[in-house]
Amino acid sequence: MNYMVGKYSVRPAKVVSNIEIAKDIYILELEPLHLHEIPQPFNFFMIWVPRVDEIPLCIADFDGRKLKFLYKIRGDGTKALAKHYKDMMVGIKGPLGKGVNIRPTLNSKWLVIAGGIGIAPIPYLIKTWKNYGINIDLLWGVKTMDEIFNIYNFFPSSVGSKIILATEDCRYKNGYCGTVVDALRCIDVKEYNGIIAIGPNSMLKIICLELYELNPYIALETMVKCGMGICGSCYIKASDKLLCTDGPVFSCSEVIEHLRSSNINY
Amino acid sequence: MNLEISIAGIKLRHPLMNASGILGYAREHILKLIRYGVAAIVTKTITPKPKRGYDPPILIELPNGGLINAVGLENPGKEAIPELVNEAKRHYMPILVSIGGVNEQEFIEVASVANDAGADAIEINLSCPHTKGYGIEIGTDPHNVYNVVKSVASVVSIPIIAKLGLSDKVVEAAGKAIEAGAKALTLINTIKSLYIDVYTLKPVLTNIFGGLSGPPIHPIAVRVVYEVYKEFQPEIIGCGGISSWIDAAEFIIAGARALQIGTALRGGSQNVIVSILEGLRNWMLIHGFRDIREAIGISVRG
Ligand SMILES: Cc1cc2nc3c(=O)[nH]c(=O)nc-3n(C[C@H](O)[C@H](O)[C@H](O)COP(=O)(O)OP(=O)(O)OC[C@H]3O[C@@H](n4cnc5c(N)ncnc54)[C@H](O)[C@@H]3O)c2cc1C
Ligand SMILES: Cc1cc2nc3c(=O)[nH]c(=O)nc-3n(C[C@H](O)[C@H](O)[C@H](O)COP(=O)(O)O)c2cc1C
Ligand code: FES
Repeated sequence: MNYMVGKYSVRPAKVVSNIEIAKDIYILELEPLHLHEIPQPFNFFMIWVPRVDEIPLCIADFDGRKLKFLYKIRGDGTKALAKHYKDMMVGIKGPLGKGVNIRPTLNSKWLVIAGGIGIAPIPYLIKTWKNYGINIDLLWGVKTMDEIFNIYNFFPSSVGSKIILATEDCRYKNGYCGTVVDALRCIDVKEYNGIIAIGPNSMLKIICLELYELNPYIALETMVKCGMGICGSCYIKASDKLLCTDGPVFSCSEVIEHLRSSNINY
Repeated sequence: MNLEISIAGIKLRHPLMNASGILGYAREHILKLIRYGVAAIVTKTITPKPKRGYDPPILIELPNGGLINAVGLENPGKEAIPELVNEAKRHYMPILVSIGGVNEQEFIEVASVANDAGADAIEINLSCPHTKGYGIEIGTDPHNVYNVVKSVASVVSIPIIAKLGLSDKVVEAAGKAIEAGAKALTLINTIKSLYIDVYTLKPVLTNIFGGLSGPPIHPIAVRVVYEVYKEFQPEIIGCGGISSWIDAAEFIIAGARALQIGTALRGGSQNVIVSILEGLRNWMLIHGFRDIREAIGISVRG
């Protein structure tokens, strides 16, 4: 069907599957009736849960037709999304944001640090960058072991990337015991050509401060309400940047004042 | 070629500013708007107390190229005004503070803060179509328009601009606003509308109803500007659906001296304003206008 609408329209998408793969963590597969453009890693979509909410979620995987998202239950919107079964319709707006917007050199080696559900956009990043010959080591930290799922199983193109795990409840025996930042301190970061971190603001703040001279990239979260640079709710403090049109990936130097001034902890 | 213009006594280096509600309620927003190349900043409509606004979806692009929004006048309240004014002044930018309220007292409250903070002008929002009590209920009744403008004019020394929305009595309301002391008029605001998704069979906006903006309202706005100009020749800021220099030029020859751009700034494109200005210059060249003022209202007089 010819569906001539812009990127900021709500486009229909059918739920293919929506399953819980770890405690309160879901993988949602959508088949859009029409896709505006090929999403880039760290692009996000506003997922419209009809008459309930509209939620920003990063693209977790894309196979040319179907979009996958990883999300964690937080409040009413994500709860309602979790109740959407096969063949139900939702709306999608996007792809939004600039995506990664980094040009890594060929055959370089990158370290990605993910905290909790910050893991969401990483499978698609690994898949896309693999095509440029970029090797990613992943350090993934979670609070409790039951938040972990097997990334290689759900995202087979991640096979080949080294995954290092850290649990705060120390129940996962083949990984670090402690926070992702504790684990990071045991890793020789200078070995990498670049670093990208994503997770709670508290974690990003520590990483930006500790690794400031390496100027890592971080993917931020602010309140996204329109996704098109008009409502202003997603602005980055002490900058002229909007997360929804300029982000969500920034270098630490661009957002350090924002992180310093925010004491949000989630 | 001269694109400089003054509106309500404020000197602008060119006629383009942002429309109210496009960013404009945080210091950071001002920086972004300056990047876009506007000649003046218009704030988000500010109410006496902070307003939270509606939950998403609040803003959707329509298949016809317009936008529908129901933001719910989210704003930080009048205490934020001095900071916004100071930020604009730091960059030598004129700033118009848009004010809103549910009664005369509320308008006066916000206007006084803007006045004391040193804003260049006040734009009275008499026309928000989707937030109950704040606007169109006031703006459609010419007597209410008169009373609000008059009461604000009695407490401030800076110029007042009245922003009106579409209504059957918009020409009469425009006349009343001028009579009450408005130095200029902004025409028009969004138009109450509805968007229903045919796949989920449900209205999309959380508030159900919203305000329509963008290209679909441009011919309506041009009509309003033309009629008001014909009747009173006041100073007019044309607003509604400008996305190219052609839309801008059309407003000017219908009677607008200055212009506001909203919807076309979506997506964070840095060259919208620049390319409209470029187009206007070329257009002036074709007609041999040396000063943009020569073109104002030319189609009405002609
Ligand atoms: C660019 C971006 C990408 C994101 N990608 C993912 C992802 O891939 N997977 C995932 O699980 N989560 C992601 N999030 C966070 C996700 O959007 C929120 O968890 C979700 O909106 C919560 O909605 P809720 O109704 O369930 O919870 P609520 O009860 O509404 O809110 C719970 C908390 O979630 C946050 N939140 C709520 N609404 C928004 C909003 N509109 N924008 C930003 N934060 C909000 C706030 O911190 C709030 O306190 C992303 C956020 C952003 C900004
Ligand atoms: C998201 C959004 C929010 C708006 N908020 C306000 C507002 O607070 N006050 C106001 O006077 N107009 C507001 N408007 C109306 C605009 O200022 C403008 O009148 C209208 O959008 C028409 O211009 P455009 O077609 O160029 O967008 C808003 C418009 C949009 C799209
Ligand atoms: S979410 Fe509205 S401007 Fe970014």
